[in-house]
Amino acid sequence: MPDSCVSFTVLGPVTARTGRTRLPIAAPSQQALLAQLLLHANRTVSASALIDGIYGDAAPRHPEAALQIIVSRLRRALGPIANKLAYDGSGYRIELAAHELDLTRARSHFARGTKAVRHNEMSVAGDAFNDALECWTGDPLAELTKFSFHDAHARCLHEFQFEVLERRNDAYLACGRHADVLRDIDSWIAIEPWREGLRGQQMTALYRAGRQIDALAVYDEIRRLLIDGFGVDPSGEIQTLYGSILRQELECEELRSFRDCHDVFVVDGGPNARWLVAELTDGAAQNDVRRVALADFIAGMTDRLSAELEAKLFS
Amino acid sequence: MGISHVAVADHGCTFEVWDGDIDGEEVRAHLVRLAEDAHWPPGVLNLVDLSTVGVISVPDPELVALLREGTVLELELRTALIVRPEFLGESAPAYDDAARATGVTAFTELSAACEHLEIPLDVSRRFMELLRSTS
Repeated sequence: MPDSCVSFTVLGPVTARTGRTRLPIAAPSQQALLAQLLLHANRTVSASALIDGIYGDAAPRHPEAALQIIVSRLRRALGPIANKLAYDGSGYRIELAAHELDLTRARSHFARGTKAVRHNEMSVAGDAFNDALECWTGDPLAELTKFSFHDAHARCLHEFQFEVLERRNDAYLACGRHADVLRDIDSWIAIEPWREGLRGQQMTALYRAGRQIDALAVYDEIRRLLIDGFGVDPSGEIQTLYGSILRQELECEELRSFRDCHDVFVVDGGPNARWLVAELTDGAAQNDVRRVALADFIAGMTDRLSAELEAKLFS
Repeated sequence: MGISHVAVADHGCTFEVWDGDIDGEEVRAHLVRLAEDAHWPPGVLNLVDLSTVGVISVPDPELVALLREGTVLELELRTALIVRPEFLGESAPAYDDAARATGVTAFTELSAACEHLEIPLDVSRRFMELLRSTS
């Protein structure tokens, strides 16, 4: 990273950096002020909203002076990039280019993924959503729990993170990248064990990896958690998925999703081609139905891509 | 009239002169100026000359805490006040007690305050005179 490069983070610890140097914003109230400005980057936040976000109902006797002191100290901490913190008469704002803030980058990747889904480019979408997910570097705002703005914003960022995750997994599953789903889903479920969407994705991915018993065990686990914890059964969607796995009906869905991705494979000979090679060589294609599907797949590809695949497979 | 300060890194000390009647607004403005000062805090020492004040407003503890938050002053602060004799002892016991409670030590002579903070007297005198001449 060049020394002149500026970066701010709010999807983890609140930080400001110039190049590799982390600027010393040690005071919690300054971090809280910076976090609020970053969450509304390039928009003016009124002084009263900032004070309310820091103090809530326990406002100091002299709120304007308190804010002035916090702003002044933050400006000093920002040092060479203090000019990014602007005052326009009604409030303060931080002025950033899109690439300078992790939250903006995550939103941009998310939009790219959503667009790719609309174009049925599921592997591209999965990668874009994964890029968005990688913008998180920790538990957002975790060190700022005592400030009144914390709860609502931390909840929003958390929900955004899990929405990105679930969309990524949906995209991966739609183009046969169940191994990519399984790679990290356990760690996410450890954070949100009751999240049925994730459990459903885990069941689907396990089943497609040839682990039907493990997939059924996931259902038993989430069912037990929901009954013990909340006295409710899993949602109808999860129950339907469970039935499909039990009756081995998911195969049809898998074939359909393979065919849905056909165009993607032809257009994108990169990661998808590598996935296909892995599917054919890692033993996962021992299932007859899947093997037929994959063979059908290859047959439908362009000569160029087929030749590339053949070279990779038989070299 | 008012409050002026200078932060001196060589001696790790902030020198302040408070002069005349000082209301709450002026005290808050002083705290904001400290917050804006790129050289503040220079260290843990604070020498405040109150020998010519009239009626003054006490700094808001919430603002003082904000000012010190995240600095070395959260851990240690040695403040010496120079006050008129009538502010000390039996004639002003409340003031004296308050000063002791906050770890601030009050003196009537600059030399004693300098000895307490271990700052050369001539240095302190130079900065105090500078502040009085420019305020």
